[in-house]
Amino acid sequence: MMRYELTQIPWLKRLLVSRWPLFLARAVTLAGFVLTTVAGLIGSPVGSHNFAIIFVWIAWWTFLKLIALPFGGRAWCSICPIPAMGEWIQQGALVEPGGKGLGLGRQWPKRLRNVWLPTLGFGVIGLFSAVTLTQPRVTGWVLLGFILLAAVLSLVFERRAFCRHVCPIGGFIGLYSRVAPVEVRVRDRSVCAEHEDKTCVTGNAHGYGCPWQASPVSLTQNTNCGLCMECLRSCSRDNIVVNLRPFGADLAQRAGRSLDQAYFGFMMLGSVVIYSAVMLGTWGNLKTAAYNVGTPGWFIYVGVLLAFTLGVLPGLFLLAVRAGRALARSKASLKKAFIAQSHAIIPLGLMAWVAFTISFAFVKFSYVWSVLSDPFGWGWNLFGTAQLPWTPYLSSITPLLQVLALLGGLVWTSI
Amino acid sequence: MTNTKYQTPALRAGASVTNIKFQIALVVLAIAVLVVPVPLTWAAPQERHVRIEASQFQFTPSVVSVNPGDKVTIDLTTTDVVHGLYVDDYGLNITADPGQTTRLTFVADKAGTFALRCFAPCGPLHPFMVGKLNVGPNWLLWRAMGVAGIAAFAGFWVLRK
Amino acid sequence: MATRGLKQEWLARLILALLLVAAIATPFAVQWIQADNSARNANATTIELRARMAENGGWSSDAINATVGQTLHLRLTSDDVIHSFAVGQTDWPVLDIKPGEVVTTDLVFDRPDRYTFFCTRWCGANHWRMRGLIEVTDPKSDTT
Repeated sequence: MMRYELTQIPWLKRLLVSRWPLFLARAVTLAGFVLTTVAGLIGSPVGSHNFAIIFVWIAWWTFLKLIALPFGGRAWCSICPIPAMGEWIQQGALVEPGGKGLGLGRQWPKRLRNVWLPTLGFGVIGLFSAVTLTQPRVTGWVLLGFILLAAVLSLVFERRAFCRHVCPIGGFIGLYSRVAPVEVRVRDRSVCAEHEDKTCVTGNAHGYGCPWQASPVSLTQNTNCGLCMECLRSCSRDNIVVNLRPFGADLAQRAGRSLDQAYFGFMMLGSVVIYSAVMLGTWGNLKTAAYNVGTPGWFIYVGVLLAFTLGVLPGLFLLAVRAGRALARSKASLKKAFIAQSHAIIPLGLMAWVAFTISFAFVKFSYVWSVLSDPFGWGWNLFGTAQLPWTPYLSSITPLLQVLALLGGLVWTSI
Repeated sequence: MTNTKYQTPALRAGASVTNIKFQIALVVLAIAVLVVPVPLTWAAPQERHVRIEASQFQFTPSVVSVNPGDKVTIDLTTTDVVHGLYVDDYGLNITADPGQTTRLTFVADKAGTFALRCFAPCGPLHPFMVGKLNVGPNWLLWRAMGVAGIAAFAGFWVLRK
Repeated sequence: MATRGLKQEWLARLILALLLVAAIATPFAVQWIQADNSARNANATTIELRARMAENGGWSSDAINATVGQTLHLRLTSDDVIHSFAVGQTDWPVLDIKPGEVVTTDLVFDRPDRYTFFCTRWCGANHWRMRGLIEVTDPKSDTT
């Protein structure tokens, strides 16, 4: 059980326990989010010259997929601006616990305590992705919609209900965070056994009870832990730590496997296959069909996307599981076997998304420099870089990187 | 809590000597497939002339295949708005207005598969307007598929235990 | 909250407020500064002209007024594909308008007349419809 406890490093522990680093990070991301939304709504309608498109779909997406997610798991969730406003209102304070918050604090409906909503949410967003990725106005409205939805949910329901049960991004971040090399866990179980109060769950003067409702005392999977460090602050026995660990550690465990998670895995893998064909392929009619919402071509695209991700791909996998069961003459429940084995496609899905991101990220990254100087496409030149021409980066090795990523995923999955 | 909970099935299958030798053999084979150059000769370099029609948002034909060393001439025309052509890795580009034909001539000295991208903003899906230039067989693809096959085989082999 | 905690809380709120205000105010501040700069160019009227394919609306305004001798400062940008700007009856160079970029030009007319401006880079099937009128009047002479 290879684990290296990061919190044994004194300055690192102080950094994680203090509320200021995460607060400052969130304040910055929230300000950035506001600027991005404004840019999307009132800036130039040309995507390549609008801060919203370039920063959301290229800069942030690349950072998320290539760095934050594979190496940090739900690290982005800890600094995400979308729930920030709602959470601050809910808690009634920015940096000190114990404020008087606002909110009804209702319990999230039992039937929705899973990732079906995020799965469908991801699918629905995918139907409009060709338009969202290229039209600043649409991106602007989507961002605005998300932050308002999160705020409203924070005022009605308890804790981070949006993050855990609604956010499609959070859905796949949670799924893939199981392979990340970072985790928050209890140091010594026996200490918890003797601890009556379980302050990590209930909260105390030093920290709130887990906003993710992940029950730190019994946490064994990264899926629902948002790395917010509240439990490090509230645990009165100082028994919660942050560990460095090998990649993929959560996958070998039997806990935390469910049909909704399995289906999200298929949604992600199926989506990336379809997106690769439509966005990266050479067939213009596929792109136009995906873009022209409301046309017959678009409905066909919708049908194919949903059928493939929710029907064909899981169906094929089910057949494979069935065949495997027959070959092994196993009496185990088909459903259980399906769920358990579907989690093997998690690394494959992650690497497929990494490869997909690589294919456009470096090519289009040079837009970041010009958009920093002219975020709205209004002819500014704040830093002098507005006229930098588009230059694709690393185009010689990008295909190789993609291949290595995909192969890595395949090998990993096979293991 | 036993340690085996955190081990992959492969490890659990037992670290017998023959197993390790087999795994090493597979890895070596995979690396070989990926890296070893295959001596193949093809026809002497020839001159190729291709007419590419650009429209929103695709190139027709969208795939151009030549042999390494060929002298390639591309005539770019457009059917609707101003489009352009940029060849990945070669760094060459041309732009064509409707009604004009722009010509690009170059020697395909780099082997591999390269993207042809639209170089003039031509509408919302401009960033996704791509075509393909194949110079020689698509080695990367074949090699990758080879390694993928080996990986799949390895996966089955391990599960046999 | 303890007093020290309260101080920290208010500091945090201040920082957040500053960042948010900066995020929202920046675009408008910069716009205002820029407008100021071009207004300093006395005797100039600034007009922003957005170009779109004819199917999407064409020029944002197809009737512009100007006066003889007064500088007409034009800020041109495109919302979709490459367009260009040319003025008839003059030998002024044609300006390319690239999507998302702003190109500026100063025009001075020395004769009252009705000048046509149009797009010279093919931008779709209805490209020929992209035209407008600059009406130049002479303030000195009597015009009804």
